[in-house]
Amino acid sequence: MGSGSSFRQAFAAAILGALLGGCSPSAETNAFPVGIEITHQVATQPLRLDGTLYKTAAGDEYSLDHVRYYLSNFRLRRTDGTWFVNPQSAESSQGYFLVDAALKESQTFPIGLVPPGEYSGIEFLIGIDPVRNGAGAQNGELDPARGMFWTWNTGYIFFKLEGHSPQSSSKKHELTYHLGGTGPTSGARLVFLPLGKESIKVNAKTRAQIHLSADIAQVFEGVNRIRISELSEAMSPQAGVPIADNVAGLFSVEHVHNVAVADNAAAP
Amino acid sequence: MKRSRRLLWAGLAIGIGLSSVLIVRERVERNVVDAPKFEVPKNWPAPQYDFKNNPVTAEGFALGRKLFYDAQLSRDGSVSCGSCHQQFAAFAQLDHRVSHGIGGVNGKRNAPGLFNLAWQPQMMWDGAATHLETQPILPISNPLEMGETLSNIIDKLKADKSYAQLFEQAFGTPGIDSQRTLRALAQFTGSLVSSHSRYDGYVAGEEKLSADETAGLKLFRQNCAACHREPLFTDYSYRSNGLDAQSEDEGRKGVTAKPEDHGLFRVPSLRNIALTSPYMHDGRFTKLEQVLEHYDHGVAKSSALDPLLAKGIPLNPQQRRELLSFLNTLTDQQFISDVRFAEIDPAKSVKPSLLGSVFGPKSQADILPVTRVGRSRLVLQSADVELVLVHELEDLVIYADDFGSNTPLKGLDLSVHISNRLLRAAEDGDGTYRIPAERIDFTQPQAIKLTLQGSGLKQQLQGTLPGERLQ
Repeated sequence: MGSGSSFRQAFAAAILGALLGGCSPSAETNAFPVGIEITHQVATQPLRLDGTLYKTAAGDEYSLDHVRYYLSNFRLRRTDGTWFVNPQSAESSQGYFLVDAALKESQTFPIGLVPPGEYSGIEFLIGIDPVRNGAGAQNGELDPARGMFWTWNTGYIFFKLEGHSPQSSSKKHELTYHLGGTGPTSGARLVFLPLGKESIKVNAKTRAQIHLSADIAQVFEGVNRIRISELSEAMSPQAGVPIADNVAGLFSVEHVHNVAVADNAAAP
Repeated sequence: MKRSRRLLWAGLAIGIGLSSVLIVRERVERNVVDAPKFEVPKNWPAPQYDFKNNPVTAEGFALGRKLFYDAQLSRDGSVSCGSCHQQFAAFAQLDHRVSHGIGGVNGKRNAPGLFNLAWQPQMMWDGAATHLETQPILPISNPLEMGETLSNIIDKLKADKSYAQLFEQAFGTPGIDSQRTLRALAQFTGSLVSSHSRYDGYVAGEEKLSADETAGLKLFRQNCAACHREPLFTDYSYRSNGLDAQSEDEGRKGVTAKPEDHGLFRVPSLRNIALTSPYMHDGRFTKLEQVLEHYDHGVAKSSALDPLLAKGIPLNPQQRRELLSFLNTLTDQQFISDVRFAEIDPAKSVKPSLLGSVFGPKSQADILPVTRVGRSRLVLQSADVELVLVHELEDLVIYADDFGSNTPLKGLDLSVHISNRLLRAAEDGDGTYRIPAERIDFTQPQAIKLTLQGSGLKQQLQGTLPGERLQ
């Protein structure tokens, strides 16, 4: 624990240094941030939170007001089969990312610092791991005041989708899906995505970025077909299980970038 | 206001000379009310809560205490944590079947006593809270309790000038956020350790129990200790003790969603049990006698009923008396009278001294409470009436109940004879009556006589109000 946490602290310091230096590679660790960018859509349409009506394959209609979720526990798989594990600090929310479909800045974030190499796959958790979920008062991205913490039970809401639907059985035709929990009914899902033909190359000469696409239509269409009239509200881990299985299929790799950077990477 | 003037004085005084400042600093340091040092009592298991990540400091503890008693934590500023968790009741709520939240609404369950929380793996009757630090989010957010959001509370604390300095002193750098707020609260609530009952003295070989109490302990170990396991007097499991054949409240099932958990509730600790009436998750029993009667012949059969209670706990009147005697030895007077846990009104509790008036307190932690050791409390009973007298902050508060039904006695004409004075109590709703404390000398034991009239009653009760030692 002692050496692990000091290692993490060193890593955190390195990342901080990198961020302060405008995401420049760290000379000390010889490692580089990898950018993640997420684009949200509903099937083939862009995601709008303005009352736009979408239709499920089964014909249910819905609009979306809020789509927010946590991503954490990022890992990158090297072409040789070994892994880079994105560091997560016990003292801060480093490594945990709260993505909000309404906030552009939340949809782009760096992971890392990643050692040089070629990476062909990415893995992450939609949600918060059980240890951190039950670890007491947190701050930063994990601040429970951010409205992603359950109030009937102590634990994070991993994925929140709120909207309206004419098919909803709730009084005001509301659509409310909150996923969370620990144990067998946990709403957290681990996702591995191969990067496809093009791997990312992490080195001093390129700046790697992975563009992910999140298709919210999958919430209703994935491995479980959700009919809104039958499930208008899921606000406990158990009720959310079929939705969580669908959410696991939300993400796909749109494309990757290996952008060449100038020799002097620190230059503005 | 007063404080800023004092700080100004302090600033002027610092200019006078460094040597005198050093002397004063030293004196001020000694005046800091220390946080209780968290220690695991002998033969107790290791605590669940790890203070390593949130070490208790005098400043953090004092901040936690201020937050615990701050009604700004509720939406309309009407209730604090301390409203439903009163120190004299071992931080349960005397006389309230269920908690009373904002706007006078009734909550769903009885407010449990708060002590030895550092050992408790889950909080709440159904175990919905799995961590001491995040537990407060539940009552804060519950519309029937405090009805507030964490982010609103942070905004209010940031707007309240009295907090900025306290947070900085507690955590080393400026800043108010939910993590610091919750951690300060945990420093206070985690420090509420009750381990100085007469039972503890007996176990340590320092105290003798009476014949009845010893017999009661034996009965306890035979009949109760399987669930109410020593030394914490609970095994923290969830069980049905047969209150109803079909529980209205889903209990543990609300957390686990398992049908077999319907109507199960956390086994509560029996420490301080004589102080935490009413009893059970819904506060249905007001007296321990009723609880023993329930186990003797009132246990309702259901599939949820704990197998250990299949035959109830039959006890004859003598055994019940003995068991009650023993349960009374679990009361921890030191805990309920520990001023470090008490609500403190800083404006009224600055130690009057020349140094204090010139230099003022350097922090909230320097502000001394009126160091009253002990808090006058007296229970008077007749065939019809039960009166509980408690010296709370500014009042002598009298809770009047019908002895049989334990319903509050409203509309009484209540007068108190004490130290050759006749004081009339003002009713404060719900059978609660108040007399301004400034009119009573609490420093020594005094004979007290109460005359009450109304609700078809007319009678006198008398007793001795215990004195409070002053430091």
